[in-house]
Amino acid sequence: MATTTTEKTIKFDCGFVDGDTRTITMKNPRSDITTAEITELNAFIRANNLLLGDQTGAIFAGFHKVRVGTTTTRTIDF
Amino acid sequence: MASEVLKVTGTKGGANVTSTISDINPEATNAQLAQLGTKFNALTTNLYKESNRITTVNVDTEPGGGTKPTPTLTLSQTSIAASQFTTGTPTTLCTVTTNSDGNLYVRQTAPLYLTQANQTIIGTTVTGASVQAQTVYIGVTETDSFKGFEVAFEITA
Repeated sequence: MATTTTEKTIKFDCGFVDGDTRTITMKNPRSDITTAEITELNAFIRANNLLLGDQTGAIFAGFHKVRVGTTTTRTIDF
Repeated sequence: MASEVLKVTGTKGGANVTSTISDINPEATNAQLAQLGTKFNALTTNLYKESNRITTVNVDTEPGGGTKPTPTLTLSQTSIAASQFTTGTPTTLCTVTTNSDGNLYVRQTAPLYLTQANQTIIGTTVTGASVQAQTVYIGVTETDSFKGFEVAFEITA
């Protein structure tokens, strides 16, 4: 019998100064996340140079986009 | 070259929820990464549990006759000093060192081929010469950490 599960996630689309991109995903995002919180996190990562690009080790440029969404997965029995 | 990831674990409904943040700066301090983990987790409804800094390196073993295993050493640690430290006394079976290029190496001082699977080396005398794939856990006495220091690697001969 096929089963369906849903999962809420928040995705941080990260950019690096060499053009590299990467997405960080966290599960179960809060419904009341504020712009200020995203801005603060972005600034913290940049100020402390905590993330590097995986192509050339480039410096983190910032979040391009932050997305909250729901992923639905249907498992098909066979 | 070693790469580092940060695993952020929270709980929801009693179950662990873990996210991985890859390619973190190796020069970041443990305190900064702990803050990073809590800041990311604060945007979720997960109850914060812990952040683990994981370094994965390919280690080389002492050259020797026969098949030379190349285990992958995965560290769960907060801060690894670039100096030689030994694992366990009085029987020191492995020495983990950093080379001049910054990579970690495991030097065998005794054969790591054990007759029993999942044998803990600390305080155990290695006996037997049977070559088997093993998961070996080495505990170290490093106490300067927010997470217990554990080195685990798997050898496939």
